[in-house]
Amino acid sequence: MSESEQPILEVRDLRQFFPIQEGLLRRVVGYVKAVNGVSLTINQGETLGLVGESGCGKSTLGRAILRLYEPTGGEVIFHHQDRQLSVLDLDRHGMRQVRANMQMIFQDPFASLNERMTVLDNVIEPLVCNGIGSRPEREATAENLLAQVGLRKEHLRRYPHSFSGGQRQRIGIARALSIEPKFVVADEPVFALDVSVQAQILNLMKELQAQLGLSYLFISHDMAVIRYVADRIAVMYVGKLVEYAERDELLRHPAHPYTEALHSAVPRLSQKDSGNRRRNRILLKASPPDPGNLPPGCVFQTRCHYAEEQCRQEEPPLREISTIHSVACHLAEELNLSGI
Amino acid sequence: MSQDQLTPMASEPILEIRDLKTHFMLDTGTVRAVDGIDLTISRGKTLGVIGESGCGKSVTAHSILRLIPSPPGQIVNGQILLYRQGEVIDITRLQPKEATIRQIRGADIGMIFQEPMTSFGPLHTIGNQIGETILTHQQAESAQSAREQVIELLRQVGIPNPEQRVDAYPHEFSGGMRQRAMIAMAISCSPMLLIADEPTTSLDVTIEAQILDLLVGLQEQTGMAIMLISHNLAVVSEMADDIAVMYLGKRVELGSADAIFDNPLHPYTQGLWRSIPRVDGPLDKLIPIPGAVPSPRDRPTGCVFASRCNRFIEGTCDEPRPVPTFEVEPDHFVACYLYD
Repeated sequence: MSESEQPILEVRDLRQFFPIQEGLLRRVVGYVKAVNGVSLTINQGETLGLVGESGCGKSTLGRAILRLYEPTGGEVIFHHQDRQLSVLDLDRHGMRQVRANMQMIFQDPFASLNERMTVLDNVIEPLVCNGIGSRPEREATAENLLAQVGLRKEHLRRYPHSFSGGQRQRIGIARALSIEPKFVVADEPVFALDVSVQAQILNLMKELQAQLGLSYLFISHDMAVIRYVADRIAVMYVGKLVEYAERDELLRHPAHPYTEALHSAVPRLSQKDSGNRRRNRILLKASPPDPGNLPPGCVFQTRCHYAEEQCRQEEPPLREISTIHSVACHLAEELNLSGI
Repeated sequence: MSQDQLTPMASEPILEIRDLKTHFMLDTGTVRAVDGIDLTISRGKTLGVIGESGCGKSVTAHSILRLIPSPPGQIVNGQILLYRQGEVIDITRLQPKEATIRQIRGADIGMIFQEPMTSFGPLHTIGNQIGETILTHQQAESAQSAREQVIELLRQVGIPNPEQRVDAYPHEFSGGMRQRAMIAMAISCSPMLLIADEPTTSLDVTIEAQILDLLVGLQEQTGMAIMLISHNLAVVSEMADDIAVMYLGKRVELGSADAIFDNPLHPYTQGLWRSIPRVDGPLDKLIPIPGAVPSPRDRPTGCVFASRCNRFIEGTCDEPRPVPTFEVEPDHFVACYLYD
């Protein structure tokens, strides 16, 4: 486990705001705080699961870490060959080097591949962009990769439209891995797939991780999927991490009321011993707040069943309650929340 | 009334589908989207229909309401019998635009769709659109009394400030609120049967939990039957009394929810169970079903699942004839030669 304690990526107080513009002069009247001060660490060879509902900023966080946006503030430190690179301060040249080590697998396998290019050209595109290898070398790499993701050599000459969703996602994975990245952001990689195919992709990603020593930031709205892949889980709500812990700890002993509500809402497969299939759920009131117009105090206070006066005034910082567990809740020690 | 007196009523059918075949005649060939299925929905009960893309679950729902676009779609065989107030109507024999089917849609059978944004027109207020349904079916005498009924319905489905929200346009509602409005419209004429086609698929889990609870509450109040169509096995397991499993236009298994979950018989159902990640219970390695759902154009000629089945029997399962259905235990049916 000593190797897995080595961080590969550290994110400190990352902020990604988008301006809200109005009127003829496009005056900036406010900001959508999509990512609002997020700090996290991803260790070598581990999967950090990032879970949250739509609009919570989880995809934006993934993209901001890869600097697909220009973040508003904060730091992203990438550990590369004993050096610590501050990703947000790098120039074009430095960014190229880092990009080769950080890749992304996208949600929609029907939108992420270039339909006009063969599978081969899709897969080797990152190599071409980074000027790695000669054409024959790239083709050899692509052949190996295709075998690794469970496709055949003859698929290389075909175009993406002739593949199913699951096969396309395999191609997307092969492309992400073509330049041998160390760190991969996977944004809902099984969302658009049939349930019977989901498992193929999840297992493939786990196998590749074990073979290649990859680290994943695995983004999903589905707690069951996150549980299957993640070593640690971070829960995001309206631009903030509200809880961050080792997998089983987060599932069994949630310390944030939002995590508890998420757990309670997740539909479960029938269990005989539970007797009643419609369990008593914790139903959250209303919808999440507008990230352009946040409430004072805790981001969750408008929907929280436990909120007190303090929660409406002071914003709780993310703090450690044990070595494996951090939470942003004033009442974490007082509440006795139920897990899964 | 005692429980015993209720029981015979509970199994009284409200809708019976017999050997339904809905095909689409395309230039490239005939797509047999629904190819000989039988289903029964009982009064006050919930029938869950599960299956992956292309299994025909939505086409079945649309066939019941005669919403299949024709051409190219056509119900080529079978009966859909609706039992209402002492009469039996075969929906397949109605003209798609005649008065009877228009009365059945909305008044006898309500429907909620997956995407509430496209289910409401953008140009009229929510109140007017629901009010129109009520007026069409002569459930109100005047526009004013229809409006009052709409406000009451919106309150019933948990929309806050219904007096104001009745005048809102669909885009002013969040996804969860639109789905509630959709449910309000579907139940506005007190249907005996509600068809819910992926009612929570585009919603977040906390909102999904609210909507599922709402459906359960409405069913308890009104005694309506629900046909719940979903690819999400956990949602169906929490809601359904009986479950039908569909694959490529066939009903491969049917039984009580407990039977389907505790003793799945069809290799496809068994494969699904092994391939879904769970949020609770032991964290076993997922065993995917190999391959992908074939395109409906190249269906296997024998058993539709033959190409992906781990129990495939050569010379039997690939015989070009329909697979018979066996009743393996009381009320638990499976279409598979293993049980011959």
